[in-house]
Amino acid sequence: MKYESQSIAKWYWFVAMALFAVQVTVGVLAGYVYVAPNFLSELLPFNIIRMLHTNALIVWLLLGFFGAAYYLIPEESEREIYSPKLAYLQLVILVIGAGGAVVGYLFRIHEGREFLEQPLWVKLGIIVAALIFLFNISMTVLAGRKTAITNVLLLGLWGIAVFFLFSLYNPANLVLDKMYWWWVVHLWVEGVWELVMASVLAFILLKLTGVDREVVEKWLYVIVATSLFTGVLGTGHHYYWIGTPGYWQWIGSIFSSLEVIPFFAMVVFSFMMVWKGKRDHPNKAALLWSLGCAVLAFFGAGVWGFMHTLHPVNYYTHGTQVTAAHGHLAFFGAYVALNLAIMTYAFPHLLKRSPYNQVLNMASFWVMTSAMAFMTFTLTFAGAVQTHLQRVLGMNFMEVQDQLALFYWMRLGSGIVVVLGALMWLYAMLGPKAASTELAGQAAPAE
Amino acid sequence: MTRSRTPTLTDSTIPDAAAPPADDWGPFTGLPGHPLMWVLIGSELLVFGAALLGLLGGRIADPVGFRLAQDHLDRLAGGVNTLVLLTSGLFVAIAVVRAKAARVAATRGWLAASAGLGLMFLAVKAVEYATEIGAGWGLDSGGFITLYFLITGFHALHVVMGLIILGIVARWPTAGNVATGAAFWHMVDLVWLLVFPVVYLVR
Amino acid sequence: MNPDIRRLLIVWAALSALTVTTMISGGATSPARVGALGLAVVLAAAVIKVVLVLAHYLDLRQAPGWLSGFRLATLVLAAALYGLALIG
Repeated sequence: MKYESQSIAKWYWFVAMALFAVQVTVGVLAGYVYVAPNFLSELLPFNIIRMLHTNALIVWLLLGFFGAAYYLIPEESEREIYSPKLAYLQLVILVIGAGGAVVGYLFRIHEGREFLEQPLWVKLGIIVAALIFLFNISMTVLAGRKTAITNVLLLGLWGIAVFFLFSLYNPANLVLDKMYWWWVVHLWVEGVWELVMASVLAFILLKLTGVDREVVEKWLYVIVATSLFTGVLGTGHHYYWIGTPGYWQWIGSIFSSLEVIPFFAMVVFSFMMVWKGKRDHPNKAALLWSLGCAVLAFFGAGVWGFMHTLHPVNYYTHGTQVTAAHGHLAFFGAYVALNLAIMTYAFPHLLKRSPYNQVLNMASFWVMTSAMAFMTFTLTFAGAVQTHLQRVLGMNFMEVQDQLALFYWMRLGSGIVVVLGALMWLYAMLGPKAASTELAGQAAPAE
Repeated sequence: MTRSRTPTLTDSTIPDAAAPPADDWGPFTGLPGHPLMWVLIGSELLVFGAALLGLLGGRIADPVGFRLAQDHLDRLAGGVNTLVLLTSGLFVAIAVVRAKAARVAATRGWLAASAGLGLMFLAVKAVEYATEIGAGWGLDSGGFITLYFLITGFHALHVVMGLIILGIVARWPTAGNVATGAAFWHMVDLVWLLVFPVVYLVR
Repeated sequence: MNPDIRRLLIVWAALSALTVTTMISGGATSPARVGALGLAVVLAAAVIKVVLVLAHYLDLRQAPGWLSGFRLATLVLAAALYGLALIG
């Protein structure tokens, strides 16, 4: 760690890790409700559990992004963060907002718009925090060295803030409501978040492999160009059946089926960098998470997304467990793995240690990844069965749900394993350093 | 390349290795114009290719409806527009040759001639659209008509974009800029070479 | 005459002739149905035109690997289009 203000990242990531634990735990709870539908139905109904699961996920991922920005911008810009005080103020606002939202949800206080359930005061708090954040990092970047990594990261982070503004716009017309809702949801995860992902991945690979910056930057430009080209009009794949004009079926099908390209480019990019790399970096766990991120994002977001993005297919699969399968692996691969990668890379620096607990960390990668892959396959099979019984044969929704019980039990099992993997990872990061589990030859003393 | 082991935490202090020349784009090196233009060209060809496949795929489901609608198109106008774009492409290719010889006035002249034909293409297309819209066609009519407007409309937007790009490179007519702008213009031309037969003629 | 410009003019003449061929075999002036053979001529002419534009207008002669890649992609696309056109 070269710059003092990089340690701001640590505090963002501590909060992110806590919410990560909450998110996966509540996920298991939701998975249990699928097999025991009346569980907690009075105290904590399923819609609230799901709200906690999705909101905690999004907030911890965003906190991870903020932390990543505070960690990598000083190194890229070669200067301290403009104002560490503002950065901590921003964190306090976010923590109060997130805590307030959670407590509110428990008392059924929410706005009811899926994923954007936060009460208005929380949304406004998020916007204030975002403004502070953008001001802080933009001032840092403007004053320092400009690199492709910071440029793309800034573009992505500004995009996140700009598109969040559409969460305030909720027209009475349900079609328009949904149309603009996707401007937040889709243009985040299939648009500007991809820019954050590409730039953070580029930063980690640059550090881990020592490949020339010029090479990394060119890849970054190609990835950014293709993700914006496909992702923006790809929004159309959410406009098939919500009441928007029929031409969206073609626009959505064509552009969204190409959304796999940037994810494929990220796979090629990361493996090429490792292959060409001149540096044998001791942090093997960070490298594993980075490569895992690219590969899992390609399958989860790219392949599983393509599976049901063409409108003739989506006509049958829309809103079935196929969507759940895609959603789970896409978020895990693209954004969870990305955050775990940058934290795994940066924590040894932040704690001024050599990479530690790597065996446990890498084991947690394989445990979480296997369990998520199993969950994805399970939900995909469930979705295929559901599509056939419900959409093709026309069986009643609840009858079909009974037929899916076995899949839901298996999903619950894989969810529990994910929680165990997450706990392993958290222990590897936050627990005491276990010298005996170090990789051979990695015991270089901390400087 | 040599692998050297650096088991240290100070990787942020290791300077970036000797940089390759800024114009080394790996496999993209050697393509005329800016490499990112070729990323765009590849993406556009995928989009139009998929759209044309979608059109002929949709036609299988409703051959009569597609045929009835397609017979209202002005096939001759589509053919004439092909000749217009090909000639415009010739002019822009000549502009590239002139730009390489650093002949600024000639470069600008050929770019202007090319843009003039681009405008003629748009004029012909506008007359076609006017007739069709007058007959009650719209983007939301469904079936063939929706795809016709989407594909040709998206193409026409690219012609407009191409005219803007030609204007920009005419303002700064270095050989690299002109080659990049020309690459975009030829892509628009090339797409039409596939759009015209598939949309207007296949029946 | 500059040899590059002479070459471009020849290519332009070929492209124009192929376009006229397309218009004739594709029946640009008559509403009659175009048979399987007519369609084959139309699509073959389109492929040749695309390759000519790639090689000469876009100057991919200088990058033979890219030229063959694009040519292959165009051929595959045209074959798929032809197949769909015959089914429909």
